[in-house]
Amino acid sequence: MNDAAERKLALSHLWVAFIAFILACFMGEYQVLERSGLISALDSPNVYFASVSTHGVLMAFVLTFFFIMGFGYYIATTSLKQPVWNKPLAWGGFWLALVGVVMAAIPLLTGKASVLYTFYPPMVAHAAFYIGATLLVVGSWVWCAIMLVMFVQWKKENPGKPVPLAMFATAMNALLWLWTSAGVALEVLFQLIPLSLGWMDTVDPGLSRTLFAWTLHPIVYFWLIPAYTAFYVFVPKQAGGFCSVMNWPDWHLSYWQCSPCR
Amino acid sequence: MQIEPIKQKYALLIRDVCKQLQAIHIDQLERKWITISILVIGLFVGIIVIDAFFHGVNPPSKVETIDSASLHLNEEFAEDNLGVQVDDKGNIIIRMVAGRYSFFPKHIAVPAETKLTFRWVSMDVLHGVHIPMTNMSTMIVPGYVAEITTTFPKPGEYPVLCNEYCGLGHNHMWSNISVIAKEDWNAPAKSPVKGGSNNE
Repeated sequence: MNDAAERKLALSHLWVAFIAFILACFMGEYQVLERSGLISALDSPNVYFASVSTHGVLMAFVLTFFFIMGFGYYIATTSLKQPVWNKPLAWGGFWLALVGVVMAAIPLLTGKASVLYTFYPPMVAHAAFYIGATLLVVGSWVWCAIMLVMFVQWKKENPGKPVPLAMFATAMNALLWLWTSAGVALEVLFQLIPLSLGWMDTVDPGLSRTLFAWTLHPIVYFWLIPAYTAFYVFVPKQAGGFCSVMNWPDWHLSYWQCSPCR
Repeated sequence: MQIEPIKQKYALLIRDVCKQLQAIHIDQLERKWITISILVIGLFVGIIVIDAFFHGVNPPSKVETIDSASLHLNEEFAEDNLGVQVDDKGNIIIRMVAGRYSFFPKHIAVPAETKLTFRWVSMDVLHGVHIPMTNMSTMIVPGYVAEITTTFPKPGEYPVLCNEYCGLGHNHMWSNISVIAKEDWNAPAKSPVKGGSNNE
């Protein structure tokens, strides 16, 4: 990491990610215990499904987004050896996402949003849940924009040179996420928020499932690319070896050099 | 818009990429693993293609809409029409309604080793249906008819379970199906019904 400011930015994201993770882990333990039927006092569908919904949101969205954002800031500053572009904007994205999480947590924990993290319309949750989830996604878009700007900046300052593989993968992940999160954004903005605020009376659940599927599966890839990055870049370095795949960005990047981007 | 310069630019790009690809030094061991990975991918794609074109394994792609709010007024899914029926062509058609928190009718009996056409609809929210040990599994989306044609190979008693979260009573949503040996099964007396088959 270049300096304390970058370290603080990346670590703040990772702290939120892992706090969400540990909370969700305990919820998972409770859920197993509830379903086991060993302790009859725990038996409550209300608490159980509130917990399942919160667990899903924390694991699939909060941990995922915050971890990948923190990881991306780390990769960008270390591999490009340049500071994070527009730090106030980066912090703005962080706080926007965090406010979204808190906003979604209130209906989730009070049982007003027991619709699981995949939303399940025509079931309707409290509007604060959907608005909070939207802010979380918008916060992640801020990160995507910063990654892409840093990628282009580096290309301009280093004409003809290949972007380091780790940053190349991170920028592609940002592009992938921008495109794939559009599905859930459309579903929430045009179906779920109007429905939960009472502006609409009906919803087409077939359309909702289609829009959500556009986002749901790529969440896996949003995770896979950082994992690949770690395996291709960090692991060979830690092992002290040299993997010839690391030469590959040469031709990836020649593609970029000829593309309209330049 | 000029096409020629764009064509030239891309031809140049492709040639450039090919040249760079050839120039990459790839270790012997890595080359071996790359080949194995490509073969594995080829195998999987091949299996999918063979299943799709020769075994007819395809995702259900039929889209049929229905007004879930007025199923009770709908001729096909009126109460009397639910369950197992044999149409005038001898096809066995099973109409089922899913609703919080059961499948209606609560119990049906169908023959084994016989082609069955299931038509599932939801009267309220999103449900799913899963019959363990069979390949019956589909999402039942309100506003749509989920039609599945299948054959149950083994006679026995099977549960019919909801596998899509539908509310706080979701884990109690189930009913039963008896799969009876083909020779012991009798078609329900009240068939065929008009209105049903011409909706399909």
